[in-house]
Amino acid sequence: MTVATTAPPIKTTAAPPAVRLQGLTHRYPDGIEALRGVTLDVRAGERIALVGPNGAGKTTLLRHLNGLLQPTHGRGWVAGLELVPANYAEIRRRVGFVFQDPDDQLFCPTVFEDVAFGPLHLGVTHAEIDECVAAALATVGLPDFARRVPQRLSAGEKRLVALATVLSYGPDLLVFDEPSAALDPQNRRRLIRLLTRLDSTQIVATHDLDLAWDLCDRAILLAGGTVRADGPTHTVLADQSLLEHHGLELPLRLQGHSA
Amino acid sequence: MHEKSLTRTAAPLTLLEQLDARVKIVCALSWAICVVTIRRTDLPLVATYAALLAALLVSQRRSVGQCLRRFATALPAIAMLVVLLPFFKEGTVLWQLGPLEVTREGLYAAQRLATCAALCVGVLALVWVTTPEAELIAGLRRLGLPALFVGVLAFMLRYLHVLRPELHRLWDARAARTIGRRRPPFRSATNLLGALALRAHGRAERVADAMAARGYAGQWPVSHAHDPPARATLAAVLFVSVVVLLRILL
Repeated sequence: MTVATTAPPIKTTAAPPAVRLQGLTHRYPDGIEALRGVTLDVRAGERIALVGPNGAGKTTLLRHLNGLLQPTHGRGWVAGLELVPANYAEIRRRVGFVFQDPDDQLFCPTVFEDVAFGPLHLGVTHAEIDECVAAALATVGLPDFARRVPQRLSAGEKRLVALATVLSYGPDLLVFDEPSAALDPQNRRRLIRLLTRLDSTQIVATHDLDLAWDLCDRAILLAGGTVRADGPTHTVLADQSLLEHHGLELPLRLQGHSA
Repeated sequence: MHEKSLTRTAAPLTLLEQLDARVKIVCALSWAICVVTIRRTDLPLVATYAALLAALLVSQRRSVGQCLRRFATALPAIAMLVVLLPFFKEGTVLWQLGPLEVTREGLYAAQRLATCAALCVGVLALVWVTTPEAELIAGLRRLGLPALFVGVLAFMLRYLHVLRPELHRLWDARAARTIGRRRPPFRSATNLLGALALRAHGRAERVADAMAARGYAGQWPVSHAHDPPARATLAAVLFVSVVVLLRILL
């Protein structure tokens, strides 16, 4: 099975790629090099699974896309905006980052305030905020949750409200760090259905290869801070030797066939 | 997991629970101002205030126990001050205990401190248990308190619900590995608190990232779309009037 080891060539279109990274390297202050020359392009509307073993650099890569980390070397663009501090405010308006732990994301006293936090910071007027919050909560299927308090939500509800906190300002690119962590099967399925319905470009860092299989049309395998494989999800995630070489396993649905 | 709330979570039942948080905060402040002006010899006034507080407490049928527990949490701090004050205030010496002297003025000050603290903490406990956290935060914000102060309080309440279960998990993990053997409690407790502090620091960094990711840059705009109109209810006006009148008359 052939898997492309570099990003596919970009088609020449008027719109810039949703994400373009060129030789992106990140070294933490303790000397650990989490990313080593990552080069890739993401086209608008793509749903990409970012897979890899623990410590592969997935979260570090995601954090660059929102300006939470600055590259040590290399350059990157999101929606045509270079990843430099001068552009971070606009980049954050266009990128919605859903963190791994919803308790990190839901820091306000009520769901309403949490969902309104992003829009109010990114230019939505007070007159429009009610509509924004109501629309975001309706999208995730929790229309009556505005007055609820985060600590009294279940894990699945917290995950959906965390998603609403970024949907409320309509980002072009959604970035998820382990979206199915701590979800029961029913809530996981509900989340997949919801993400499938969204039009935004999505990048999903996950160990849940079945979620990646269901949701994403392209998969990028990251290991040791470099891109090891990049291609159609059903090709990359069906390559048993590639996955096992990098400490992963086939999605559960394929394991029966390979046994 | 649904965490236990520190304040009211059920639907409002009593008059005090239905009051706007701002009204309750202003009433509590008026009460505190009247209470701290009480002189040591104003015993009828102290008795009347105590009776009023007790009546308010009893009227909160389902919250009585919770209110008493909140009150009890403040008792050690009050007790420490009340016990130490007679030894440190200068005045007429009543008893000599080795190098320590108990003064009459010290005892009077301790008596006044105990009275004021008990009455103020009592009413604060009532406000605390009859007001949901979110309403309390919104009430303080709408009363114009500094955004930084209200923000710190809001974060403290929000993450108490996250850190408390984390402390329980740390404690359970320690217990599971000690197999019934007890280490010195003090050392064990400080180790756990150190681990919790590190986790809290990591959590704070992630929360700061989550705020920055949604555009936070130092200012925290708040929507007032759902603010109820500010109005003093008849009950609140009556309460403040009675408290002030009692202070003047007794």
